[in-house]
Amino acid sequence: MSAAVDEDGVAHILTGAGLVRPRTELQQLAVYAAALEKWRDIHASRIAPGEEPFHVGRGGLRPPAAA
Amino acid sequence: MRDDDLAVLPLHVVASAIAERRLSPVEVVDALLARVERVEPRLHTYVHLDADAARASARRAEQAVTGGGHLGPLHGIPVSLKDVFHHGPTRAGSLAPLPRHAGGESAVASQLERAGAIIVGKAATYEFALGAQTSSGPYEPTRNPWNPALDAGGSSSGSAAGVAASLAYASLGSDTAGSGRYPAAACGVVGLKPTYDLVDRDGLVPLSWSFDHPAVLARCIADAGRVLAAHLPPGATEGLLSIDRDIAGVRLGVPRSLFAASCEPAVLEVFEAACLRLRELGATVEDVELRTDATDVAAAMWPILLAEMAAAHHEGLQDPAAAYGRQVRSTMEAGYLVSGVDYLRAQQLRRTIASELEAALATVDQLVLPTSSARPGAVLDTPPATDEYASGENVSVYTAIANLTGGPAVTLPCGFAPDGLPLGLQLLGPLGGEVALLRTAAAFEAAMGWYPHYATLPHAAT
Repeated sequence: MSAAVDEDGVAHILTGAGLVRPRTELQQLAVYAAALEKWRDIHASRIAPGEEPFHVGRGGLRPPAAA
Repeated sequence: MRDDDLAVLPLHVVASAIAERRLSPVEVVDALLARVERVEPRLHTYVHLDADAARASARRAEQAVTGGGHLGPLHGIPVSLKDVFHHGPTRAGSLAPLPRHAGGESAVASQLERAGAIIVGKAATYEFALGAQTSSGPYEPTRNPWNPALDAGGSSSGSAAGVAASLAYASLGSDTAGSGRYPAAACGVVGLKPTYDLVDRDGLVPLSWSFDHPAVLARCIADAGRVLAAHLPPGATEGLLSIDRDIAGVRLGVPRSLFAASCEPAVLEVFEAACLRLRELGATVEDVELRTDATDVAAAMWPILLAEMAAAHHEGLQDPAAAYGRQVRSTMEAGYLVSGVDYLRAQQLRRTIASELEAALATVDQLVLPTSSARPGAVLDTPPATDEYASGENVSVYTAIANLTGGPAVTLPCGFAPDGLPLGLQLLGPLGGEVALLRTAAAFEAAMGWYPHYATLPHAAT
C-alpha cells in the first residue's frame, strides 16, 4: 500500500489491488496507521524477554491460543 | 399449551419432554414457527428461514421418537445457525465473495444435526462477523428484543436476539473478539465461548483463524451446556448435561486492570452487586493482580486480527468489483498496513498476556468481570466510525483477552442498565475449564432467578 497526493493536494491511498481509495477511506486507514504506532510502542515495552511468537511442537505450528 | 408458552420454555426442558414423549417435535417446531411468523418481522433475526425443511425434519424426528431408537441431546429442537457457518445458503452477511472453502457442511451444522437438532434458518450477522453492530451489509439490521429502537449488538446479532425473543431455542454463533458474548449480554442471554478448537471450526467462514471460535448462545446455562455437549465426543460431555450448582469454596478473582479505567459507574454497580451475590453463594471473590490492561489487549489483538482478516479475504479484496461494504473493505485493507514484524511482535505480546493470565489463574479458580461497559445504541443506517473500532475503548475490550489466550469464557445476565437493557457478567477460566465455569454460572443464574424474564420481554412476547 502506498499513499499519493493528487494535483489538488488531496491525499489518496493506492492499495495492493491498484485501487485508489477516496480521501475519507484514507482517513479511516490513517486511524489504524496511527493506532499501529501506539501498538508498536506497547509491544516494545510489554513483550516478556525471550518470548516466542508461536509454539512449534509435535502438532506442528500452533497459535498461542492452542499452544 | 399456547404456542408462545411452548416457545419460551428452556431447551433442556423441551428436549426432556420430547424424549419422554410428552411433546412431539412437530408440535415444538410448529409452535416456534408460528412465533417466528409473528415476531420476526419486527426483529430481523434471520437472513434465511426454511420452514418447510424444518417441518419435514420435525416429522422425521417424531418418527425416530416413536421408533424407540437412540435420541441425541438436541433431538427435535429447533435452533438457528449464524450465517458464517456453511450450511445451505451461506453469505456471511455480505454480497462479497466468501474465502474459498473446501466444500460441504460446516462441522457444527453436522454436529447439530447428528445431535438431533433441527436447523430452522441462518441467523443474521454483521458482514463477515467484523462489527459489533448489525447495520452493515445488505440485510435489515437486527433489533434488540428489549427495545427495538436499539441495536442487538454483534456480530452474532441474529443468534442473540433470536434466542432472547424465543425464535430459536439456541443458536451457534461465532466469537472472534467477543462477537458471541457481547450480543448475548446486550440481549440478556447466555453466551459461551469454549476453549479454542474444542468445537471444530471447519466450515466457519474465517475472519481471523487464530481468534475465531464457534460460540453457543442459549437462554440458560443448562441449555448452553447441553448444546456444547452436542459438539463434543460422547466421552467428553461429563458435567455438561447435568450441571452442579455448588460453588462453596470456589475462588474467584476480579482482574480490575482490565476494566476499572473504562467501566461506566452504572455497569460497575451492577457488577459489584453480582460479586456480592457470588460471595453469598459461598465463593470467595477477591481482586487479583494482573499486569495486562486493556491497552495491552488491544495492542496484541488488532495487528493480528487485521493481518489475518486481510490474508483470509485477500483474493476478494483484490477484486475492485467485490461488493464488500465500504467500512468492511477499508477495515480489512488496514491489514495491509501491518508488517510481518508487527504481526509477530503482536503474537509475542499475546503469549506474554497468556502467561500473565495463567499466573493469575494459578491463584484463583476463575476470573469474574463485566462482559462489556458499552451497550448498543440506536439502530444505525451507517456503520460506526473507524476510530471507534481502533481506539481500544470499543465493546471488545473486556472480552478479547479470552480470544487471545483461547481459554473458555461465558457471559450470563446479571441485571439491567439504567436504559433498560440487560447487562452481562463474564467468567473466564483456564484452558479446558468449561465444566467448572458453567457450574459457577449456573449457581449465579439460579440465585438471580433470571429465566422468567424471557416470557415477559416487552417487544417480543406478543
